[in-house]
Formats: sequence, structure tokens, C-alpha cells
Amino acid sequence: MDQELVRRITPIFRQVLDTPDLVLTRELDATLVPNWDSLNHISLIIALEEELGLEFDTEELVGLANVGEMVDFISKKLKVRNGK
Amino acid sequence: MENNLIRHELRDLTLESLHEGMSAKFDITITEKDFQYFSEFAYDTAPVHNNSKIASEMGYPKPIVYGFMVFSRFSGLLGMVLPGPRTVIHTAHYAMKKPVFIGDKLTYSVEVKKIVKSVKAVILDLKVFRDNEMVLKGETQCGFNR
Repeated sequence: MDQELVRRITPIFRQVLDTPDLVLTRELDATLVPNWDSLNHISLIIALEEELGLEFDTEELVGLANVGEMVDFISKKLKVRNGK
Repeated sequence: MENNLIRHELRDLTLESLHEGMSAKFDITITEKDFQYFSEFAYDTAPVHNNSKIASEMGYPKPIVYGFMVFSRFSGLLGMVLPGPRTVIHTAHYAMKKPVFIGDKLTYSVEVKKIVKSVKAVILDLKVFRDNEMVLKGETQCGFNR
């Protein structure tokens, strides 16, 4: 995973999911975090868009199965935006 | 006692029809009847709301209206007008900026701050004014469920 991105978004996951010691791993998904329900997922996406200055499409988000896929997706989107 | 009969006109807005800066407002006067009704509803007879002497000791010229009561008036505005009946409230928070008293005429304002299409949500600024003085400021996140 893009570790710089992971460091940047970890505080957002911890705050939104109210889990101060949460560690983001590739395999982590909503089934493994008690507070990661549908409502908090919406708040999480909004907070990520805000922090990263990105806008996601609903269709792009649907297929993301875990944190690893989410980080890969965001990292790719940031590279496109930054022209890398 | 005077009774407020608010009739919001239902607006069936979609997420696509919203734009940032879009707003809605309504005026209402806080009545003794509203106050008594809320007091019973909330099981709140705290003296700062009902006892002039204690209200004075706490720094207010007269008993103050319940902050939750002031905020609760946003329910109809949000649910029926903007963002409207296709949405539910996800989160809401607010700060009381000034005390509110029975008889105050208040203007409620809701304005679209941000639209988050990816999760079909909208963030709105909430403000309540007495004349030109802001008495409450808040924010809410609502989601479109249909």
C-alpha cells in the first residue's frame, strides 16, 4: 500500500469510526471494525474527499472490498490528478 | 395563548436539482404555548427556563428558551423543504450564540454548503437570526435515500 497515503488517512478512519487505535491493513474491511456501518461509511467517504481534495464517483466506490483496494484506488486517483 | 401553525410547502427535490448556495428560510415567533409544550415533551423544568430569579443569577434578564427547542424547528424545514422529503438527517450539530426568549421572532435559514454526489449526501449550514443577530449556528449532513 501507499504508506504515505495510509499515514495521511489513518487519523480520518480513527476519528470517523471512533476507533483511536485502528491500524489500517490491506485486509481490513467493514466487517472487522464494529463502528464501520453504512452511516459511518458515508461520513468516511465525505471526510476523505474533503481531506484529499478529491471527488469520487458512486460506481468507483462500489467495487472496493477493503482498505487495500481503497488505498490503491485513491493513490491512483491522486497520481492522475497530480499528473504523475 | 398564541399557537404557531407552520405549514411548510413540501418540495420534492432530488440530489441533482440541488446546487451549492441554494437556501430556504422561514420566520416564527417563540410562543408561551410552544415553550410549555416542549417543556413537557422534554421532561425539562430546569429553573433557568422557568424561574426569573435563578435565570437572573445565571446572567440572563429573564428565563431562557430551551436550546433544543430552538434547534428542533429545523426538523420541518430540512425534512420538507431543503433538502426535502427524499432525505434523512445523518448528523447535526449546533452552537447557541445568544439566549432566546419567549416572544422572540426568529428567522431560520438553511443553505446548501456542499454536495457529495458519491455518497448521495449534502452538507448544509444552519442559522437562526433574531433581527440581524445570530442566535444559533450549526451544520447538518443529510443523505438521499431515494
